[in-house]
Amino acid sequence: MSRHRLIQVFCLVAATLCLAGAVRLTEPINRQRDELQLTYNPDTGHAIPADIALAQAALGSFRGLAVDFLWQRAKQMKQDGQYREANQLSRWICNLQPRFEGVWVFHAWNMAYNISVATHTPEERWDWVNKGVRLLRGEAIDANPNSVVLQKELAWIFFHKFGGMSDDMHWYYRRRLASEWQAVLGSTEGRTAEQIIQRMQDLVDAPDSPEVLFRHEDAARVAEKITSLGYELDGSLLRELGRIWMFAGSIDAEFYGFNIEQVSQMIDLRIYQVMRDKENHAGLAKVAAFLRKRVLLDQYNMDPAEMLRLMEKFGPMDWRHPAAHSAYWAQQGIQAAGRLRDDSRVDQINTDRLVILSMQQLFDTGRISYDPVSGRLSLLPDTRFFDAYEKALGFASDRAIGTDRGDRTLANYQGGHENFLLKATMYQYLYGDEQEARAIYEQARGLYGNDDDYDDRKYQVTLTEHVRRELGELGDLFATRSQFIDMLLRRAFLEGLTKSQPDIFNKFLQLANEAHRSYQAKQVETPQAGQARQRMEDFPEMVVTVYMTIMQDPALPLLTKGRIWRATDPRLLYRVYEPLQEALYRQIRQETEAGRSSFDPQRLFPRPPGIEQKQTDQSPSVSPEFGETPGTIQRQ
Amino acid sequence: MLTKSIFKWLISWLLLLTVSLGGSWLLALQGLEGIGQIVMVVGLVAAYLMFTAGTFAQCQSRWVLWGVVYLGIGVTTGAIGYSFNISNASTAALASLATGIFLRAICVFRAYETLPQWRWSAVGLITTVDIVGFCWRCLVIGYISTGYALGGVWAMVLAFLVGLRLIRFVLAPGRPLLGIARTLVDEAVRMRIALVFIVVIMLLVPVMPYLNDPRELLKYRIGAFLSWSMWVTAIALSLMTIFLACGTICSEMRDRQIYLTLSKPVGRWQYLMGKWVGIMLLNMLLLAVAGGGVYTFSRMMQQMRENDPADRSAILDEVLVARVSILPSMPDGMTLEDMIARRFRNIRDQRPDRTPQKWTENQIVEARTRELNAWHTVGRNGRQTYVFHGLSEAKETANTVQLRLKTAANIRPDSQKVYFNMRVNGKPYPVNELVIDVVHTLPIDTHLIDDRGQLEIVISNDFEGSGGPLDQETDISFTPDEGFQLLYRYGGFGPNLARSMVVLWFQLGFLAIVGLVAGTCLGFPVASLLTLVIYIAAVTSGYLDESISAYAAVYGEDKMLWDQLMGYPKSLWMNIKDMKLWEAAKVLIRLAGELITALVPSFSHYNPIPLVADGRVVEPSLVGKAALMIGVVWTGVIGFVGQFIFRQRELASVTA
Repeated sequence: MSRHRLIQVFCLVAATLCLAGAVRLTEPINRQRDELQLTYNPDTGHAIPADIALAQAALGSFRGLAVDFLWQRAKQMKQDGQYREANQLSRWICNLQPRFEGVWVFHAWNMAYNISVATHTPEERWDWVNKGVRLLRGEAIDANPNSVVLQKELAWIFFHKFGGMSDDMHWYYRRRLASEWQAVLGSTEGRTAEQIIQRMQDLVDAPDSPEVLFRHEDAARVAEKITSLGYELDGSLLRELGRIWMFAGSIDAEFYGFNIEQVSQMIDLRIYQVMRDKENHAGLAKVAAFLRKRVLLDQYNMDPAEMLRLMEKFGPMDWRHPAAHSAYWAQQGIQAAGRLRDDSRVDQINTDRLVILSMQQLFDTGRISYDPVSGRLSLLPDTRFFDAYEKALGFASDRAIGTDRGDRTLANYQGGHENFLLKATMYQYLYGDEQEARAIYEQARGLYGNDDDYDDRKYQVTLTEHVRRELGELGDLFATRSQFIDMLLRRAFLEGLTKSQPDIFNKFLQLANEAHRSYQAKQVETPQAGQARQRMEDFPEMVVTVYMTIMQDPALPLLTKGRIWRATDPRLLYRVYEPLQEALYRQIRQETEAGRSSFDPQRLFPRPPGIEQKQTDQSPSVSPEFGETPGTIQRQ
Repeated sequence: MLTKSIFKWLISWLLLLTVSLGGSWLLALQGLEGIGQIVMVVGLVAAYLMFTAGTFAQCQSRWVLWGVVYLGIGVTTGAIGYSFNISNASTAALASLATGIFLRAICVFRAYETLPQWRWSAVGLITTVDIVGFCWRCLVIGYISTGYALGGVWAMVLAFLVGLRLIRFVLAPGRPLLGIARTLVDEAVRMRIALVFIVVIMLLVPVMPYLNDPRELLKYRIGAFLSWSMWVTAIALSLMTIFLACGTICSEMRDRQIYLTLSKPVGRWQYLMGKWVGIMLLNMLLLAVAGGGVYTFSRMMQQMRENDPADRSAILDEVLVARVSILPSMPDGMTLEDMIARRFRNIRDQRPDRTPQKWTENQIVEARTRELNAWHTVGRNGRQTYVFHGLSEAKETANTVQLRLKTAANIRPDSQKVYFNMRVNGKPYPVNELVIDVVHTLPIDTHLIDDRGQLEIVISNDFEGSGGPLDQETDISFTPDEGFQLLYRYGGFGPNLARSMVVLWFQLGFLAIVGLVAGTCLGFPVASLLTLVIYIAAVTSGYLDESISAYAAVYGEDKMLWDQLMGYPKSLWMNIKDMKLWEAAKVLIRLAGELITALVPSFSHYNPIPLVADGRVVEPSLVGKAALMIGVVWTGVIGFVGQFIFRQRELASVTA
């Protein structure tokens, strides 16, 4: 064998050995990459959709050029104020580099924050904000299920864009979100915390597939009836059912003189007929639970079990509220961070903070009252989330201890906590639970009153004085002012009417009216659209809303409601009698069946005198006269 | 007579049919519908094949044979489709029907083998009937987009075929130039690469309307469709033109067909011109077909469900329309010239000793810029008035006109937003916050236009010291021209689209002549590459200009032409003097880039696509300029030079 041949053979053998070695090493290296989370593992997440994978493969090394071109076009068109392709271009750019989190975040942010504010109708703005949300919640998180940053950004959009007031059309976003989620999950109004959580439990327990659903005879029968009308068992059917439930349950529809047949252009009356049949009710509930579960999983990328866990942890959050969504996605981010091997690069503190802030927002505005007919939306304090805030703070503090910036973070948390406690003191005081308010005030005093760094003179005053000071610091912001008015009205009804004390009633009503008038007067000084949209509803409407909310509150004893009813001005009763009658009578029936009380509905909530005359007037519009002037009740 | 063999065959056939159908039915009764379906499909196909084979064995008439095949395919695919349909497998049913249509079209094609002059007509006619039925079926069972898209594809194909016949008819007279043009048209249909681009257009234009996310606002969907469909048309036709123009001459030279042609009484200029005319007629037909498709589908999209009433209104006022933009005038009859004169007067009054006798052109340009900027700036607690004239027609024909604004702030707020109050003809107009450096479009109701057709817009920046979030301490300015203009309806969408197609046609004419000339002196790969490079440079000329300008700074860029030209040596010298050699090299590179871009026409200056997609008018003046500059000057010069080169070229030499 010649020398050259020998060298060739040697090289061939060496190459073969190297190749064999490389093959042997490939498997452990890949395993290690997976374990160290250095690469994306399709087994633990969603694979790229076939069309996207095909496009990527077809473009090959030209993918970078294609992405560059699309970026250039997107940027140029944005500069020129052309947004027709922005959504499509964003999706293409993201889908060509689906594991690059920053790109998803940039485009979602761009649509939700930059493009949206360049448009000038609420519908169009909502459309862009929603596109940003959909991009993150759908494809982005699908492609990167373990990404903390994506979930945190999504939570932030819900918290800040929907829940905050930086955008002057935030009120419209909240209304649309409430409408969308009321159609999907229904309303929580008039339900206890246990009932709300139970309803989510029903969703978790609902069948996963139509085959399992059809094993229930009544569900199969209803499903067959509905599908024979040309519907599929999907999201559009759920939204149709949801719309009908919304309109059927609308209180304002009564005010406007609508009935369900009159809104037939907006709903499918054939489905309505199926829903009206009492025989179908049990089956319909199962079908609706199944549809809700599928829609949450398939369209919203949300897991009902996780939603339930969150509600069990923090309280009966209303999914029509943006803070419920921000809490959900921030919590998902925290869980994703927990799965990460190296979480040093993750912005965990801000993710934790988002959960705390969401709870605070729910405390401030978590009690929703939404009516689809008039579009009326009230976001009022929900004191049930006081404990939720404390819990969220506790979890976040535990995680912050021992981290690099733990001390600074804890100090920040404490600052926020103190402010929260002081505000909670005021809310509890104004909502009538003075004892609870005092306890919170004492808690704040105990925790922060002796801290040298703080101005603890605020802890040297009485509870009443403290609340007065806090009220004085209320700004002219829409949300705080409307909460303030809501509190005063509640106090007027609960203390004034319950105890038949017209002085107290008139005092609080007067205060509320003045607060409303001064706010509205400031809003019309400058004819500016942003402010115009922050105008409150008229004062009489606010009075009616608060009255309705109180009278529908299942936690308020029937006797108390009866006392309020007796003391209420007949003009207000004319407005609320029809819509409230069913809810009140239902509560009486439930309590009688449960053996807790036994009232005669006619005696407890008598028909207002002269209502027949009022009804024959058939005035469909809301009467403007009530509540304009305080001092309208007489001792009875 | 029914012979024994035929009888046997018939019995076997019936048996097969009965077994497959009966078996399928029995399986379905047992709940095994899927397997039953497969058994039935296999049985029917086998029965059909058996029937066809039997017919072929017994019958010699080609019409009968193909008739049986045709009917057999129809019945079999129809039966399979029907069975899928009753099993709610609509997609499979449609696939079966589509397969049937395709196979039947082949049958007709084969049947007419002996009558080639009627072949395509027969295929077209019969397949049209099939396709119409298929589309109708799609619409009935809810496959709306499939039905319309397929119908659109077929309609465009038919229009193309009819147009092709028309072109052949027009080119029928026996003149050399027309003959060459006609040969080219035939060649284009035969040439696969050209056919690929034609098919791309005919497939994509009807399908595109249904590719957009249906949750998207309809105005965006229509705008995107217009933009992408026209881009696809323009690019596909440009590529087709390049490859066809280069390919036709190069292949004739390579295959020596050109000897035959030019040995006849045909001048070389006639040869080149004939090729060019052929390509131009083909392009005209394809642009007409594609334009018809774009028009029809955008009108169909207009009927789709909109997201909200504002969306519907925007389609009619901002997208499917031809809008013109106008700039504001100053109030009280003031003009910019008056302002400049006043400015010079003030300078003269304040510093008479240092004021020149005559203002230079550069000083006048600078003064104009300053005055324009000052007028477009609303100072703190100040106000400015802008008047738009000539809106009487818009008042009658449209619901809204659109005010386009691009704002800037001298003290940039943290929120990146500015506020102002606006009055339109004396009435307050609510304006939300405006993000700076972004174009905003505000719709203004046409009923606010006064009887003289005027809109007076007063903008006041009076939020300083207002307290709260609206307190702002900045001047607000608008970018002159594009940052403060009014758009209003000028004409309809159809004529606008037609004008844009005409502009594209001129561009294709230029590419055709470049390709032909390149083909006369270069081989196909080099010729097509060269033409492609010229095309890319022409299309991206706007982007290239911008990039080159940003690449290296040169003195005198905003000055008059002569100063601009002198800026290069000056910049070069200054950089060399300061030993900034790389900067000096960049100046040279920029100069080279400028020269190259000057050697190709700027398609981006005559690009009608963004205008149509944005609902902006493609003005007749733009069509005229495109015709003159691209159609006459560039095409004419290249054609003349090319003809000169071609005439000098020795195509064949006598060798010993």
